Amino acid sequence: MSLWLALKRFQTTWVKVKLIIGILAVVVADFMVLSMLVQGWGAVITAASILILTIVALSATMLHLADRVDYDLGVYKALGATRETITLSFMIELFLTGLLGALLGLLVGVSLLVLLPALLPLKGWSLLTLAEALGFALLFSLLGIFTGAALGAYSVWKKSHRMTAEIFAHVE
Amino acid sequence: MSSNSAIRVEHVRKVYDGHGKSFPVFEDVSFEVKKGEFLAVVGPTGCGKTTLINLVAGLDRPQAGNIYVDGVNITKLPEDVVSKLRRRKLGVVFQVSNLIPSLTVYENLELPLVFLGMSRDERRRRVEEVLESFWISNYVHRKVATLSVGENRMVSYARAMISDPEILLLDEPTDFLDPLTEDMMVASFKGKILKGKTLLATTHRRKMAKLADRVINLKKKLP
Repeated sequence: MSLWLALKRFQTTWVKVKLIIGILAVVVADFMVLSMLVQGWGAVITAASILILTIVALSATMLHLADRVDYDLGVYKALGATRETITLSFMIELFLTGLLGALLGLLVGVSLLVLLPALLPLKGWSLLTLAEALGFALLFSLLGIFTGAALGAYSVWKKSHRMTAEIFAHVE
Repeated sequence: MSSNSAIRVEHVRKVYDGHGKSFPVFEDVSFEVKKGEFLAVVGPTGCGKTTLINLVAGLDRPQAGNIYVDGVNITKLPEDVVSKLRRRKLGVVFQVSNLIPSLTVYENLELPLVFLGMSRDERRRRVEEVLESFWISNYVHRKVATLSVGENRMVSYARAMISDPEILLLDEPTDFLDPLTEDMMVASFKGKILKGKTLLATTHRRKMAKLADRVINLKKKLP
């Protein structure tokens, strides 16, 4: 039942979140391209920065999404859903949203990776291979998605502690 | 407590707190609704009718007193246990419809059945039955956000009935309805849909109160 709820919300909240997903996708793509342009210790520092920024960006987006759920949360509780069911459904939804954002980001990133050498004078730079860049971007995005989904779900879990009447009183 | 009791409210006290002050809603409310009985609660605006429905539905907790639903004291149970009891035993029609606007009428009706763990086929069968009974088949695939207030209210009513609950709690069910829709809803109270069900309804409409087996008057607590 958590999956049913998550998929319904994923479909219906698409309009609201696509802007956020788009921004995230570009952020991930940009970081990925940056990571290709440095080597040595610089690459390590860049990679660490990208990892942190990806996690922060994805977590902030997911927490923002999880913050806008009071009304739905109240309805689910009023209809007899348990806190576990509700929290799990939000976790799945956030994971799917993050995954879609990251995949779009990878798509943009790969396109840039292919186009960049033709557009910019990059002589003297040692670029990461396509596989390396993809691997880093995917790994960082997944870490970000898991962290974001877990933080978002925790936020929903905390909210769901409140009595249903109190949740509705704050929404209305 | 007799085994014929569907709802029993004993010496319930409810106070809201805010901005460092306490706002008492009621101090000592007690009543009983027998199985199959229709009890209407009337009273002026602000006397606590909605609060009473919320308390009996287990959506809120009193500061003192006990509330029994089908013999179970819901004031002493963890909230998730009350949630499970609610989805099996209770249907609630809220004063504000509380449907999910981004879902269609069909999906909103399906929601309580999903929480009951029913299969897709079972859900479809139940939804189709209810659509016919509540005259809402015409807009089953419309998003709830596009419905009128009256249509919204009928869908809420259908959603409360979809899991065939033993007890129905209605908070001002005919409010905001045009006379025709109100008549349709009142007719459903006389019809077979609610036969054998226990009803607790708040109202300030005479038409509605006249249908009840008993009426209790909730007085407004003066500050």
